[in-house]
Amino acid sequence: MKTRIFSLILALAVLLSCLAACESGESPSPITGGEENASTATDYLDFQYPEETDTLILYMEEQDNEFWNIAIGRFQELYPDVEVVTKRFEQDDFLATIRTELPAGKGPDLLFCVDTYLPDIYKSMATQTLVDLTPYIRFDEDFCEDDYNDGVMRGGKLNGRQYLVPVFYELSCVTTSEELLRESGIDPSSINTFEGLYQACVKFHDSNPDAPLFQIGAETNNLKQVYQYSGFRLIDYETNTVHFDEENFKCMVDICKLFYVKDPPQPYFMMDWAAVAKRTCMFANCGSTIFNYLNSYADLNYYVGETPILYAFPNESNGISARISRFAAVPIGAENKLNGYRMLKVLLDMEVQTGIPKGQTVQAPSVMISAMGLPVNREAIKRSIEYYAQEYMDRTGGELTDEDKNYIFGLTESVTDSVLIPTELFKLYKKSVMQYIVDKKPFENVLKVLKEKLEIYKDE
Amino acid sequence: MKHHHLSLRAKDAITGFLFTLPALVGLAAFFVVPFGITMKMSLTESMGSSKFVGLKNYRDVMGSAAFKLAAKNTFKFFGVALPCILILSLFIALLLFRNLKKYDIFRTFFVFPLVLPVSSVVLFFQIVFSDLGVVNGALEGLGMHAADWTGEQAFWVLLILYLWKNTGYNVVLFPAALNSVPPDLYEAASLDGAGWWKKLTRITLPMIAPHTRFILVISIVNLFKSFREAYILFGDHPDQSIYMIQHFMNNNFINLNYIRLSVGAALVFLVIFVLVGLLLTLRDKDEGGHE
Repeated sequence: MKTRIFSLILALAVLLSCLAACESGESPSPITGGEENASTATDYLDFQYPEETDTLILYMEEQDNEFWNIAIGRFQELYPDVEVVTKRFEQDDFLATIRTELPAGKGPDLLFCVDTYLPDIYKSMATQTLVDLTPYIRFDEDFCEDDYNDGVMRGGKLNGRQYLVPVFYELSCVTTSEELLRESGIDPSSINTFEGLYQACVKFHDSNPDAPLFQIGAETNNLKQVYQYSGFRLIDYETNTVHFDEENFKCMVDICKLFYVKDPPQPYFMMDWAAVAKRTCMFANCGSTIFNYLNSYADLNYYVGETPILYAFPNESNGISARISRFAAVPIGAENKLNGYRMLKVLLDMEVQTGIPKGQTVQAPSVMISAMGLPVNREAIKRSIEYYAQEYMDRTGGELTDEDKNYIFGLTESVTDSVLIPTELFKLYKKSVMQYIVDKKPFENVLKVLKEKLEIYKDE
Repeated sequence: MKHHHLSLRAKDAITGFLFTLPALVGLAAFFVVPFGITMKMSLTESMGSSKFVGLKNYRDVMGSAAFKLAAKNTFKFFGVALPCILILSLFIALLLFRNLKKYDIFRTFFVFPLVLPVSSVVLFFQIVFSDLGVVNGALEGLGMHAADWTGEQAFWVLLILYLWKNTGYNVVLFPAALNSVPPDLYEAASLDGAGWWKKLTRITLPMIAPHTRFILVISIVNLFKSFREAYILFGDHPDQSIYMIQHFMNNNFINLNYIRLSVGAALVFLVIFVLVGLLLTLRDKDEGGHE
């Protein structure tokens, strides 16, 4: 009897839930929150900075010690009354800690981590895990947005709100030469669009059937690299729709299919200028630091006498997407949000982003910090270019003109957008497109299945 | 001076409570408290917030296309797999029950899939159902087209896997039920001219109904466990035909969306509770009727 009554009550509860669900209109988005969109973003007229506190709690990975030492030193110069409490972790422990504490509304006052540490950063933004920094920045007279690469900074926004700030980024940059392209009948100016890039790949492949697309990446059949370089989001997180340019997407997949090899070779390591000179690949991987860009650019001319091209892959809108490699954000559960924001600004400081103290002009940027990626601070980029250009000339006797330096700087300024590519999306993409690449299914079927899975993914 | 002595019954109760206390503490720590936290989470705005939002989270989840698909597929799988396993296992049990000597030999054979490690089972199925696997080879040998067993036909692969793995367990349980039917009833039925169908439907099935309910509950539990094989075989975003509630919950766990995970868990609990409650109610009714 008791069981019967209990079951009845529960059945009624289920029924109520179903009825409540039926009353709702459209399915609210787990990504946009379902109630506001970019066009109705608040003006923050009632915003007030959080209260001053005397503590700042930071979690850091052991590998970032040098970076944090400089940042904390700078922070303490500016805010000597604030006690900085640090917790250091090995990589795996750091990952486990932030994945546990952030969703529980706890964690450090400032989160600084690699882009892949959170499974889908856009979903984290929507679940109110991170503070909306828009009013912090807007009402801060000391924050000058012109100091930072605006194309890159755009990547930390969702629905017009800045939930995270990119600190370092990577460009999808590879090395080739005008001579290499022209030998295959390719006009170098034609590869700035996806369609143009695909046609160029066809011509190169016809002329060099055994040469891979990239110097390094062939062992995985280029799938990950081409996908990352192309910056396809696949999901428009602003409108919560599966939306991408299907023609350019097919070009991207066809490029991988063109160079697909059943038993790919193991990567071989040689200087990128040598790889281009020997025509062993279409594009040589040049790394993602100013040092690499400058050396790749200069070496090709100096050692081989060819006209270098540092080529950034077009994105689906035929712009250029950067990949955010490290970002900073203030968790919603931070106890000292104002200090967290202040430390965030310190991380964008030129001195911290290069490891070059202010006032020093003849000092190498820190190698450890450079390995994190390109600094989002424009002055930091310029200082790095100046230093490495001089270093190159001193070392090799070669010449790098202001035009060459401006070329490198212009490359970083050409970024129109930046992305944080969720690992899960890449897995869905790879699993689907491989069926087409190995000729098991036609492209239309593969695209249909991929879109269905993306629809489910975005609604989870 | 008055001395208050506990009655013997009270002393027994306290002693019993103290003996069960360790188990109760464990139950509370690992089941009751997490359950309470999960239910609370499902009714709050976000993980770090204690703001009560009522059924809003439930509305959000039940209105999402992903959940609707997961629920539909889960119910569909239940609706197909449960009758299949009950009929198949009962059929095999009835066949073997006729010859108990052979049953002892086959019992080991039927229990074998249960003790195999999941990874071995999955590897076996991957070999059998891969694009160049045994099944497609047989189909092509017969002049038919190879099927996409990880895509459109994934539902049938999962069903076959579930039946192969769990039928044996039920086959072992059913003879205990069949043994409980008095043979006199069959003799009397034979004398009255009843055939095998009437004996089955009028004697066997009603008499083993209580045991069948128990086997049904076990089968439901095993059905939920089949997510393990589905996950290893097909990944966390499988074909649409087998995207189930467990996939929805697992993927929200991976994406750190614990609110939606809590709601999913609460809804699954609710459904199972109602199902099991109804089964127990039927049992109570039967026992009341027999009395």
